Amino acid sequence: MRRALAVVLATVTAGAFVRGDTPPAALRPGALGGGVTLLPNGWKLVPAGRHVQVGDLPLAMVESPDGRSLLVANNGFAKPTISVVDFQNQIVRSALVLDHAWLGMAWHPDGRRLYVSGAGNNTVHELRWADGALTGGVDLVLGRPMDVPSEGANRPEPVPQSFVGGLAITPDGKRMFAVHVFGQILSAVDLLTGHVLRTIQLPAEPYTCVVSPDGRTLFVSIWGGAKVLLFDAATLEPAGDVAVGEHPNAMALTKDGMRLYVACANTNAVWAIDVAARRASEQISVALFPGAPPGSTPNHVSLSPDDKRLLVANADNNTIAVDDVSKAGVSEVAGFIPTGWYPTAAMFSHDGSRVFILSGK
Amino acid sequence: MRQSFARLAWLLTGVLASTALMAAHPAAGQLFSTFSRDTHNILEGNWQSCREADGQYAERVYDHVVNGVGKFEVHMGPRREFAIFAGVQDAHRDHDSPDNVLKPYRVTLDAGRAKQRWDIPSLNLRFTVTLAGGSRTDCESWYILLERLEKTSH
Repeated sequence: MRRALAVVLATVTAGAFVRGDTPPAALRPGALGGGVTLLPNGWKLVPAGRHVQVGDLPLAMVESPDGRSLLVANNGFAKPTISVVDFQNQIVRSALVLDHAWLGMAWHPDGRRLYVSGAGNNTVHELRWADGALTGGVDLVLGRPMDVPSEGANRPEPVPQSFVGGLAITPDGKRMFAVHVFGQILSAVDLLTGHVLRTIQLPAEPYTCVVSPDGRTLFVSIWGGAKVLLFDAATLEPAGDVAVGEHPNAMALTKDGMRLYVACANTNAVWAIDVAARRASEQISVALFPGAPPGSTPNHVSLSPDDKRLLVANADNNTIAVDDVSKAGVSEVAGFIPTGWYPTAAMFSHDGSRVFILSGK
Repeated sequence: MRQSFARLAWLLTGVLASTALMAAHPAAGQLFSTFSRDTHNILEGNWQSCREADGQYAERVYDHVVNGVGKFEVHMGPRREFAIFAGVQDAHRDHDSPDNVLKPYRVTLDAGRAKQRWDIPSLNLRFTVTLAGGSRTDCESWYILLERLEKTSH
């Protein structure tokens, strides 16, 4: 509908320019006032909620253990940062600059350590959280790090097995898992020693990983392989696989570990996996209207504290789908939240009273 | 400098043998865990130097022996000290000895971080160490990479 409207407006404007003596003032992409933003493609966005400017391409966020702050990973063109957002006062209180970062964020169960993936450097940052402040620490090194770029020299050569993406930590806090997107491998790391315990090859590019609540099973979304792989979290031995839609990415697991929701970006749907049966039991459409061609690009999912609502970030139609998933097998969209440009993540606060949304662009 | 230390002989009889050794699964409490992904590297993995029963930080020595000939030995630890000596011998060698080809042999920390790379043309080696996560008051963890300075085609 909005695409069609945009085409009509463009046609009318072109005609007026040919007949008139002076061209009308063209609308330029950007803020138009009144909470309206014009995109380069002609779409106008009127996002809901209150807005805090964070950084460049925010991709991931976690709520602080005390529920007072939101920590946002900014992974765009500028140097990566982790913004600490005080959402009571709606300000960015601080920003920690990192050399490398991408997508992965995970709290240690002690609530004092935040792990952030180090992308092409083959590292995971171990950051410290105390008294509402985030400070740097020593990186976990999962493989050969990049050379430090020197002034006037060419860019350092990419390292093999690189680009650490999604992370997961076992409930006991002893072990961390990290996927290497380009390297197509999975590493298990002992968090006490920093040692890489085991690394295994994956069949295609992974996106992220999730550990079951009992710590026994690891789920890995294989973005390049349209499947979710299951592993024994203690040994990394294969424990099954489930076919899903193309480009599976973010995943959300219910507290009982029985249902896994997987956003599939090349479709308009989220796949729901029956974990015990090791099969996809439901496809939940998040299209704006029935029969819409793929293009919603669902790229993040998260559950409400009671596991009854699922938030799905539809990056390419600038909405968050709010799904009622209280009854397995008959899930449906309860409504859409209009967002800023290219939502990359959405989640409920710990108490379920707020929804946080990242607008990537 | 410790006068006595555990010495682990790592006998290399070729690339295939070294691959098999490095593939061993690390046990709990192990100080050195090898990465097995890139067999072109001589040694790659995580090294952790912790205080031992005598209160001193651990040191381990790896002998690089090819076809029965001791080529060089690599000392890791104590703590942030590293050494490489040409040849292999049983007697301990001090890290501040002129025979240690790594200079400086003690890595310095800068704002809590540390990375050092040594190029050793005489042994055709490049040795890189990076302070890594898992470090704490009683332990320091390092990522280490020992590779050929001049790569060969095999």
